[in-house]
Formats: sequence, C-alpha cells, structure tokens
Amino acid sequence: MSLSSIDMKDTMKNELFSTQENVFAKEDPSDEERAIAQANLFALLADQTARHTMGDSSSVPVETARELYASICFSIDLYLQTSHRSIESLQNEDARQMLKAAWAEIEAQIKKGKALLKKILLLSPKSVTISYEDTINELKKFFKRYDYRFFAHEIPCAIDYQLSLPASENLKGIIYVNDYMHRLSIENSFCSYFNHSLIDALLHSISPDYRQLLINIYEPVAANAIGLAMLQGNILALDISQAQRDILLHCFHKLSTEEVKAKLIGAAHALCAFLHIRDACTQQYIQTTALNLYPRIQDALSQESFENIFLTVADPTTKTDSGIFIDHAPMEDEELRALIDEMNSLAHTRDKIAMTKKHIHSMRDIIDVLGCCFWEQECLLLFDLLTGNELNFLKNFIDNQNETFTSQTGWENELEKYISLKEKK
Amino acid sequence: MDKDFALIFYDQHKNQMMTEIKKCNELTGIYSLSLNEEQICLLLDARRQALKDTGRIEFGNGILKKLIEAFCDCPYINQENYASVLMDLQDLFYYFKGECLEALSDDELIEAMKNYFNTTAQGSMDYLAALSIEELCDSDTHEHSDEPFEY
Repeated sequence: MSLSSIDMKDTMKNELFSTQENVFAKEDPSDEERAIAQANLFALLADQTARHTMGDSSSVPVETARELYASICFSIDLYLQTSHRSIESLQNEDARQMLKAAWAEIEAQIKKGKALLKKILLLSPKSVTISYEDTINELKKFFKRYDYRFFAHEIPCAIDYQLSLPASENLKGIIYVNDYMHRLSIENSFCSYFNHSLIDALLHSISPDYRQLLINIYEPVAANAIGLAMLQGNILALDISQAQRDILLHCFHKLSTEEVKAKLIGAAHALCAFLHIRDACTQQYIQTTALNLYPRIQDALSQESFENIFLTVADPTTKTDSGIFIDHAPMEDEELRALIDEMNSLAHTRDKIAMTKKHIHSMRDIIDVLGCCFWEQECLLLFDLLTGNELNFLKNFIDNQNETFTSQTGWENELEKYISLKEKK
Repeated sequence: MDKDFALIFYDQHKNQMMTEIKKCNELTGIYSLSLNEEQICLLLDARRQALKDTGRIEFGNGILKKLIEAFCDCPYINQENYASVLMDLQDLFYYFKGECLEALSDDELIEAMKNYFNTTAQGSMDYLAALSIEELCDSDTHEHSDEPFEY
C-alpha cells in the first residue's frame, strides 16, 4: 500500500479546521452578516436539539446545547472550507442543506480514516509499547462511537500514544483523528524499513521495560537512521557505536547553527534517497524530525555526550541480520553494466548467483541486477540468499514505486510470492 | 457565556410565545380560566429565570402551553390561583427536568406532576415540590394514597 495517496495538502488543509469558532474567526463579517449567520446556526441548533431529544423534550441542559452547537459549527466550518465558500454562504444558502453537505464530507473523512487505520494496522511495528496498543484499540473504537450528526467535533476515544510530530491540538473530531493517524502511518511506514528485532533492541537500549513507557517508537529509529546517514554508515543496522558518536560530536562542534541544520536536512535527504522514499509528505516528516534533533544536539554538545540521542543497539546478537549486501558502496555504473552483460551471458542460474555474491555488495546494485539478470523463478534462488532485513528493503522499494512500476524481469511479482509463501510457512 | 447563550433564544421567541399563550385562553375559557397580558408577561419572565436557574435552554414555544393544556381541567385550579399555580408548575417542571437527567420526556413529566397534583397533593404545590425525582419517575406504578395531604 502506497502512502502517496495522502499528500501534504490534506495535512495543511486540516490545520484550518481548528475550532468551533472558526466559522466566524477566519473572516471578519459585519455585525449584520454575523447576526444572520448566527440566526441560521441557531435555527439549526433548534432542529438538532429536537432530533437529539427525538421530540421528547423542548429543553436541554446548556451543556448539551453548547456541544450540539459546537458540532454544528465544526460541520459547517468543514463544509465552508472544503467547498471553498465564505461565511456569506450562510446568508444565501439553506443552512440545513449545508449541514447535510457537511455530513457527507464527514462521511468521506470517516471512510478515509478507516483506510488510514487499516494501513496503520498493516504496518504496525512488532515491538510496540502498551500505550501504542491501547491507542490502536481506542482508534478502532472511535469509528463505533463517533456520533457525527450530533457531536462531530468530539473525539470519543483516548489517544495516549505520543507522536514524534504531534497533530495540532486545535483540530477537532474526525479531522484530528485522521491527522493523527496520517502521522502515525508515516511513522509506521518508516519503521517498516527496518528489521523488527533491531527496533526492539534499539528500544531496549532506552529501557528494558520500554513497553511500559510513554515513548515514541519512530523517534529513536529515525534519530539513529539520520545519524548513520550523516556518518555514511550502515543505516539499516540502526546501530551507532561510541566511536561513531565521537565522530558526530567532533563534527558538530565545528559547525555553526545554520550548518548543523543544513547537515540535518542533508542527512534526511540522504536517508530518503537510500530508502527510496518518494512520498513528499513522508520526506517532509523525516526532515522535520531531523530538524527537531537540533535543540537536543545543542544540549548534548554542551554535555559532550550524544549517548541519549544516537543510541547503541542493546543486544549485539540482533546485529547479525544486517546481511551481506547492505551498506556497502554501490559499483560504478560502467563496472555494473559490464557485470550485467557478463551475467546475462551465463546459462546457469547458480553461476549468476555466484557472481552476484562475489561482486555485488549493495542493495542498489541488487535491485539493478534483479531487474536485468534474474528472470522469474531465478529470482527465488537469489531471494534465498537475502536476510529478512534485505528482503524487507526490497519490499519497501517496491511499495514506494508508482503503481505502474514493472521491471523487465518481473522480479517484483516473484518477491511478493516469495514473501507471502515465507509468511505462510 | 452559557447564560447569554440561553437568553438569546428566550429573547428571540418572546413575542411569538405571548401570542401562543394568549390563544390558550380560548381553550381554558371553558374552565373559566384566562391570563391577561401582564400575567403572561410575568410567566414568560419567570420561565426565563427558571431556565437560567436550572441551566437549560428551550427552543420553540416553551413548556408553558403544554402545562396550561394539561392542568386547565384540574379541580384545584381556579381563576384566582391560576397564574400563580402556573408559575410554580413551570418552575417545578424545569427543576424536575434537570433532576431526572433527561430520563422523562416532557409529556411523561407533566403527566406525573398532574397525577400527584390531582391526587395525593390535592393541589398543594408544597407537596409537589417536596417529591423526590424517584417518586415522580415511579408515578406510573405509584398507588396514590386516598389520605389527604396534611398541611
């Protein structure tokens, strides 16, 4: 599933639906316009109150009326924003129809939210905290509890899991929940590039009881990946040694604020390029995560220690899964072309495999070779050589391609079959 | 903010409600009961205060018309006490409405109040006011005592 279906525009747009008072706050209506708009909103409130009490009661507590009114304002605001209308529409259009149109938009948002939740569940890290699990369970309940016709602005579930880049507290109802889930799906998608046992080991280095902690899973993974991108180290191994921390410390000491920020942005770009992340929203998220490291780096510089930012993977046994193709320099283009020509002249698959093992040491080259030299079933023998980490890398590479992506050899289809067969076993 | 919010609705509908309550005189006339403009005005002001005191908002024409229609045939109401009884009933209605946590509909609450008013309470507003919400909610199954209420 591709994350490219959600673009940054959505997130930016969502920021606009901030409060129930937005209906009036974003424009500067005259007193007369305000009075007419308010009268129409109040007429809707009377309708909604009658619906809410099912005609049983002519009066409601002020608190109930206020919530119903907040829901109307949220819904109308959403309608005005999505249909690019101004507050003047409240004078000229039938407010009841506007509310119905707003409900249709909310229903579309609910559909979008359910798809986001599905994506989150699909890409959930295997190592999670209790607060993550609780929040996922609560998000599932949200869609059962969400009563958008009367309380569209409410968030009837407890969202405890802290994101690395939190959703705006000004957002309400389904807009907040979708924004939260959008961010969480980006974090999960990023974590899916890495071996789960490495993530688990990294979290263990924070605390052996990390499951009990209110920590974000993505943040330490991203920080180490960014650090390794700066060091031009083995990004997928996620491990930063004391010696590497010293290099970073030495390097940052020499840089100005602007230079540090530029270096962080550069590392984020390098990381996205390495992982073949093309989705603009995910790229932006990683870049902001990198920039958010700056205050921590500044703090750490004064203490001469990066131990709390760039972590060493706790359990050394988990480092063995980094594979033979990962994190080595790709071949020169001409050299690779010559190798591909030579491999294509070979009749036996096992000879191709032997040449691959001998000459290829980077995932980028593996992808090129798979696309030119290994046809259909031949791929399976090569996949057998790869570690889970490396297979995961290939899977993420495919997921990040356009839907129209097809290789000359069809290795991507073979990989899908290979992985699903392996999962069944 | 809450108070302003509630009062906006009252002010918007006051004239309309005056007309509606005046129309009720046609119905209550057969029981020799009527309200003049000043009494209606006082009742509507009392409604405003009762809503404010109980923290409620009312839409449409209010509960007063329903109270008039329900209680106009009560044997304990005459022209002399008509306006003051309505005022007390209105106050009690909003009080009980809040106390019952929306468990009773308007019609159910009015019916329960009327049952007590016409039987055990024998027209006593003090008796009615002293009832607990549980007693009122239980009004359907309540076997009203034949013993008159002692003042």
